[in-house]
Parts: sequence; C-alpha cells; structure tokens
Amino acid sequence: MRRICLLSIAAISLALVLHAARRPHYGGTLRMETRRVLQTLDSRSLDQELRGLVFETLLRWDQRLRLVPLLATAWQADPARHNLTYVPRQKVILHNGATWEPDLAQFTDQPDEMALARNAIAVKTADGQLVGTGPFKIAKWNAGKSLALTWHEAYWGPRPYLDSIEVRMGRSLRDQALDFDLGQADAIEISPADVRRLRQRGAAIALTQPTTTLALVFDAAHPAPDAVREALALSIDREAIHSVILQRTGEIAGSLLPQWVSGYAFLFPVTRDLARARQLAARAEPLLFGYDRDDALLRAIAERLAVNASEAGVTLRAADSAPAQVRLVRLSITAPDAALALADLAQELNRKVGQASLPAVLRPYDLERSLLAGFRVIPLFHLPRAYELSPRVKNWPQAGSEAGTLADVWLLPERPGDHP
Amino acid sequence: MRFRTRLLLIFALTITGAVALVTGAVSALTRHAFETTDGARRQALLDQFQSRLAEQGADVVRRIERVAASRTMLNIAVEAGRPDGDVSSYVDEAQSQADAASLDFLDILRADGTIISSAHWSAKFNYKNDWTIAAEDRRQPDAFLTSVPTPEGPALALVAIRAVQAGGKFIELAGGKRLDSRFLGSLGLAPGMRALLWLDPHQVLDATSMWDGPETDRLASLVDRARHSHHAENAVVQWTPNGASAEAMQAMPLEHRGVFMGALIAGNSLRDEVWLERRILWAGLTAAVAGIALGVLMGWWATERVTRPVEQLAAGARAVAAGNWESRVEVVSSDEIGELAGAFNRMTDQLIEHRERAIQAERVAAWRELARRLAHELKNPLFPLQITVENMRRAYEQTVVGRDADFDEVFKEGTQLLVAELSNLRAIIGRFSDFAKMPPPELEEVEVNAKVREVMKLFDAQLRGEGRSGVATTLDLYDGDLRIHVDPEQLGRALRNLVLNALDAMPNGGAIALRTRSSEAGARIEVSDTGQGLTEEECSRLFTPYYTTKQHGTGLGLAIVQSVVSDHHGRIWVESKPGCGATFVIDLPR
Repeated sequence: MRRICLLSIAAISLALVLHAARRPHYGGTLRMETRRVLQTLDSRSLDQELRGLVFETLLRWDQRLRLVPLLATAWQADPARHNLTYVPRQKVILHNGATWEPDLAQFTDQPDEMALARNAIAVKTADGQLVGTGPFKIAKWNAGKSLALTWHEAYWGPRPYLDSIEVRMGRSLRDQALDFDLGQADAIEISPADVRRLRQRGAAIALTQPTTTLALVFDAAHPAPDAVREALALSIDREAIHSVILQRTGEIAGSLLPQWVSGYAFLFPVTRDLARARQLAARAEPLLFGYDRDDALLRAIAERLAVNASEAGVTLRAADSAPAQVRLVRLSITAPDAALALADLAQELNRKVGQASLPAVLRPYDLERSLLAGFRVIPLFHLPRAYELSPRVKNWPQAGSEAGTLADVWLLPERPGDHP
Repeated sequence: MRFRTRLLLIFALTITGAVALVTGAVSALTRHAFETTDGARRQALLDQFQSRLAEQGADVVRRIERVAASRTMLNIAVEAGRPDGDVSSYVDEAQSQADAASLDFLDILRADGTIISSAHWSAKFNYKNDWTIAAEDRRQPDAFLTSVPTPEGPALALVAIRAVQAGGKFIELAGGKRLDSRFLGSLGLAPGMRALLWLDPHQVLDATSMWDGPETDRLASLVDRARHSHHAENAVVQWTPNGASAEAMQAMPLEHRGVFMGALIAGNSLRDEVWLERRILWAGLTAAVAGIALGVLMGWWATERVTRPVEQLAAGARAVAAGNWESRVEVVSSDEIGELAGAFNRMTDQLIEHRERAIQAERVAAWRELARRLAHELKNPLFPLQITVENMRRAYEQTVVGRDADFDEVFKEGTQLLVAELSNLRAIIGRFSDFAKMPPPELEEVEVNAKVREVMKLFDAQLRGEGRSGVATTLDLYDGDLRIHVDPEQLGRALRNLVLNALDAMPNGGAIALRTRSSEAGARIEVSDTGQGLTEEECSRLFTPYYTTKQHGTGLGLAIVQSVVSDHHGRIWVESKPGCGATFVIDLPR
C-alpha cells in the first residue's frame, strides 16, 4: 500500500513537471537574426513575422485565410460592396502613449485590402517617428544593423509572452548558423535546402507557407525569341531540383501563386519535354543569364538550370556586367489573397524586368494565365521561409497550425549550462 | 672598264665574298649549336613533364583510395544499393570529400554511371558521368589523362576511378587533379623556357594563369600537326615583326586511348640566338664594309703599283707609236713588271738603234749615189779638158814663131798648173768613185784583236818617223777571243781611217788608244785620241761626206768608216767634248 502511494506520488510529480514544461512562460528575450537589411522602419519593410507586432491592420487573415478583426472590431458592406463601414477598436493606445483616434473616412478599401501590411496603422509623431499599436514597440533602432522591440504595456490585447525581441540584420546564413551554434541566437533563417538535413539531425525547424516564388523572368528590354523562351521552360527538370537541391522543401511550381493562395496551381503544367525543347532551341543564340550570386540557393539552382538548358541546346551564359536577358528571381507572395498577391506580383515583375502590366480581367486564374503567356515568366518553385529554432523557443507559428504570431511565442527559462 | 677598276672590283668582291662566306658559316654553326641546345632543353622539359605526370598520378590514386575508404562513401553505397534508397541528401558530399582530399574533381557515381554528387559541377547530379564512361577506364588501376567537363569549359585532368562495395552493390568515385598553371609551374622551367598547356584555342595555360599571350592561332597549326601525327612536333613561331620574339616550340600531344586531350607545348625563346645572329651579321657587315674599304685602299695601292708601270708602258707604247722613240719607262722593280719595263726600254733602244742604222745606211747610200753622180758628171768634162790642155801644150811646143819667153813661162806654168789641178781633180773624183762603188762586204770570221794589232802595225813606221813625235799608242784589248763576222779588208780600212783621223787630230802629239770589248750583240771597238776634241755640232756632222775640220782633208774618211760599219749592220758614234779629245765607238754584230 505504501509502495503504491509512493509510486502514485512520483507519477503525479512527473506529470506536474511535464505539464509545467509545456505551460507558456512569460518573459525572456527572443534573439532573431536575418539576412535582410532594413534601412527604414515601416509596416512594409518589416519581415512578415515582425510587422504585425508593431504595426497592426484593421483586419487580418487567420490561419484558415479568413478575415478576422484586429483594430477594427467589425465592418459592414452594402450588397454591392461599394460602401464599407469599419468599427474601430476602442481604447487603443499607441506606442507613444497617445490614444489612437482613427479617421474613419480613410478606411474605404475592401476588407482584403485592409489586411495588407501596407495598410497597417502607423502614426507619425511630432518628432517624425512612426508609432504603431501592436503588442511590441520599438525600443532601439540601429538602421541596417539591429532592432530591439519591447512589449507594449498599454497594448489593447493580451500581454505577449516575450518581454522583448532582438533582431540582428545583415547576417549571412553561415553567420547565423554560427551564432545559433554558439547560443547567441534563438531563431535563425535557414535555406530551404537545409531543412531536411537539419531535421534529420533533430533540429527544431519552422516553415511558413510558401511565400516566395522562384521564377525565371525575361527582361522586356532585352527580349529573347519566343521559341527559345519556350525551349528553356520545357527543358527544366523541376523534379530533380526539388528533390536534390531543395531536398523536397517547397513546391514545384508551374504557376506564380502557390496552391495555398490560389487553389488552382496544379492546373499549370510542370512537365519536362526535352525533345520539344531541343526542337525549339535549334540554332538558338546563347542567353545572358543573371541571378544573385551571393545567394547560394539561387546559385545552385541556376547552375542546374544551365545544365538542363544546355541539354536542350540553349546556352545560358552568365551575364557578368552586361544586362541579363533572363534572370532567376525571388517573387514575394504578399498576401494570401490571389488577386492582391497577383497584383503585387505584377508590380514586382514590372519593377524588376519591365513585364507588361496586367490586362483588365477579373479572375485571378485568367490574370495568371495572362502573366505566364509567352513564357516571359517561368515559375519554378514556391518556397517557404524556414527557421531553425532553439529548443527554448516554443509555440512558433507554423504553416497549417493554429499558432498566430510571434506574440504567441514563449521561451523556456534558460538553464545554466545550456549554452557556453 | 679600266684595268684598275677591274682590279678594284675583283678585290672588293673577293673580300666581300670571303666575309659573307665566313659570316654565313659562323651563323650556320651558331644556329646549329643553338638548335641542338634548344632541342635538348625542350626534350628535357617534356621528360620532366612525363615524370611529374607519373608522380601526380600516383598521388591522385592515393587520394581517391582514401576517399573511397571513408565511412561516408560506405553509407552512400549502402543507401544507393537499397531499392528505395534516396541519396539526394548527399548531393554536396563530393565537394566536402574533394576539399578534404585536395582533389580538383570528384564525382560520386551510381553503378550505372549516374552522378550522385559532383564536386566540380554540383549541378550535374542525376546526369551520366561523361568523362569516365569507357569500361577500360573503370578497370584501370592507374591514373590517366582525360578531359573533364566543367561549367567553365573542359579541363585537362589526371584522374583515377575506384569502386566502393556495399553488399554486392557499389558506387564509384571518379576524381583527380587538374593539370593547370600550378602543375606547369612545378616543372621548374629554365630561364627563357616556358610550358603551355593547350586544351583548345580558348584555353591555353601557362605557368602562372590563363595564357594571355598573342593569338593562339599561331599555335593551332602546330598543335594540329601533333594531334594528327601522334608525336611531338616542332615549329618556330615569331610573335611580332621583331625577330627577337621568335620562339622555338615543341608540341607533345596528350592522349588517352588515342583521343586527343590537349597538348603540352614547350617553348624556348630564340631571343639570344637571334641577338647573337644579329651580332654576327652586324659584325660581318662591319667587317665586310671595313674589308671593302681596306680592299679598295689595298687594291688601289696594289693596282697603283701594278698598273702604273703598265700605264707607263702603255704611255710609252703610245709615245713610240706617235713617233717619240726617245720615250722610256722607269724601271722601279725587279719583278715581271720591271722586266717588262726593261724589255720595253730595250725594245725602244733597239728601235732607235735600228732606226739610226737605217738612217746611217740610207744616208751612206744617198751619199754614195751623190758621189757616183758627182764623179760621173765631173769625170766626163774632165777628160776633154785634160786633152785640150795637153793639146794646147803640144801645139804651143810645136809653134816656134812668135814665141815670147815670158809668155812661154806663163804658159808653161799655167798649163802645168792646169794639168796638175786636173790630175788632182781626177784623183778626187776617183775617191768619190771609190766611195760610191764600195763593194758589199764579204763576211768572214775575224778575230778583232788581231785585226786591231794588224792595223796598228801599219802605222808603226809612221809613228816612229820624223815629224811625228809625241804620239803614244795604247792597245787595251779584250782578254778573250773576240770573233765576229766582218769583211776584214773593209774593217781594216775603217780602222785605218779612224787612226789617221786621230793622228790628224793631234798634230802636236798625244796618245791614241784602241780598245776592244765583247758586247752582248757582238764586239765593240773604241778609238780614242787626246786631240782638241769636237763640239756638239761637229759631232753631229762628223760623218757627213765632204765635211772635215782639217785643212787638207776630203771629208770622206769618216764617211767611209760609217759606210763600212753600216754595211756590217753595225753602229758608230763619237763621244767628245772640246779640249778633251774624242772617242769613236763601233759596235759590230757577231
């Protein structure tokens, strides 16, 4: 009987310990690193994971891509969706301590628009600084180098678990990995190509939904023949790149928008037709090929593309200083809404390679077909952002999970000897 | 062209030819020596290349075997051998292994040759390896040369292949080291030499980097020759118009199983050779110019020495041809030219002598003709005159009446005088006639000294007679036997006339000397006196008939002497000065 009692007590103690380990903790500083270099602080330039922490929008998409209230508690639209009415949240305190007093006249866009980062609420103070309403406020800003956020005590919502977030910018993936191994960072970016290897080692990896589209885009100012463009598109062995270089991370893409945004991505072909490509590429002139040589992933993929193209008879020659005819680029998926995302993609394409503006069609599918017509843009892969997380980091928002933002992340208490 | 010009040209051409010959010979020998040395140096470089190739091949084999023995390769082999094995996570493994093993190239291959991972071309995964596909290569234990495709273009490499077995399945490792500038640099090139590695016209490496020398087309033909002949070929390439840029190149084809992979080109600068050849050429040219100048000077000096006497001879000949028989050539040497000049002078002397003889002969003939005509013309009226005078005397002696004593005396004296003078005149005419009718000499061998003694003996009585005091005679006769072919009578007559002439020249006494000498042509006879001598004009007119410096002479004595000498083809002249006596010299041929 006594033995049974002792065993029961031990089991209960172990259960309590395990429960305590899974229970969120308040406090702590999350140390993040990124390759990006921010020179200004606004809702557009911040990484997706950070932007909602400082600057909030009226609405937001939840994990199921439904619009839910944020700074607006409700909205109404007439049947024709011409007139919109938003109900702002009350008693929202800005980071400078002032009360947010919205001018409702400026909120006339569609609800989807009101969830975009570019429409986040940012108030310029008398001294010219932008302040938001999010759960974290800017504590320290060293342009291009670091950003420190601390929790906003007057936040209208629940208190975030973290006390602060420190972000080091301009760190290469190699430096980030080194800092991570030395215990100087809790969350670092990793290449999608390293996800599988790191997972095999037991590392904690966080992936977002695919938010970047890798694509070949032809420069409108230095056009290539139609047949050569098509030959290049047909020569690419996406499957091999996806399985070997990307280690099956991300998705093979025949469309600009990923499946989770558009729902129709599978309709765009990704098959390789080398015979047809060779036929089209007969006597093709070499194409000047450009990509960001500092990006190891792009470089590896670009080299493979060159091999594929060469097999079809198309020579991709590195455009060192000359303007490239075709470039391997990353295109950002800025919104989970197909139309909005396509509009932004079209703008980005125009900005990067001078592609034609979108025709006045309504359906996103038709819009995308129009963008891809003529093989001026050849989508290759949809890639997520990947992070390696310290074991201390808990509740990091994962793709397809119910987790929200970094405001929901909490840290296990640091134990002596965890890191040197 | 003048003889001197020809001589100068011959001198200049001879010297130039000699210098050119020597220069050409030295240049050829120098070139041959350089070519021999160059060939040896290039061959040494090629041998060294082969040696280094063998060393590096062994090193590559060791490194590949070390990689093959690693646990990672075993894991890959195990994974690749599984039916559902996924080796995609090893896509970067070749790079890591190549870095660790210091290999430039490494492909991890499935058994079917598909690339699992490639160190030098990471993007080639899942493609077939296309540089070790020959089955012989896979079984070859040693390293071999092959051309490895890379993103930057084909690279020549020394590679080896090793298999990694795992439960009956296997993967293969194909890797090696690049034959590049470092490899060439390790050959230890001698000064002036360089090694080039030819992969294609756009990839030519030297010992430091990609060769940025002149256009490689200049080497393409050499490499093509080596490629087709399958052995080393030589050529000289001149990179710039400057000859010093020339370089002797030797291309050795690098082949694997008969397939041309590239070529090693050993180059040796010919700058030193060209420089030396130029120096030799310049030295030769300088020597030629100096030689020509010296030759011209020497030639001028020599031709001056040779041609001046010849020109003098020519001038003398022209002068003689123009009538100047007195022309003489100066004899300045004892060589052939000197002999020629002497012969010329002797020729002119003989010409003059012959001319004088001819003149004398003509003159004697003329005077004889004159004497004959004169004697003939005078003899015809002389006889009637004598008859007439004798008739007158006979008639007067027969007349008795009317004779006056005084008249008789005058008449007798007058007629006697006429008869006497007519007789005298007839005697003179007789001499003229004798002079004109001198017979041709009847030659016989005469001993001259004996003849001289014979003549002088005729005068012994006269010289010892009264009224002839104080004339001494001296005979200075040739020691030997002096024989010539003359008419003895005419020679005696000539000598007598000369002795009489000498006696006449010394009315108050003196000395007569007769000398005989043997000469090259014959004999010389001299008759000297110590009389008052002759003026130059007298000497020139002395042999003219009827010219005499004596009060009672007929002027035919010396003319007869000259006539005799002339008939004997001899020569006579007189040497005299006023107050110093005179010497008559007769040269008679043998």
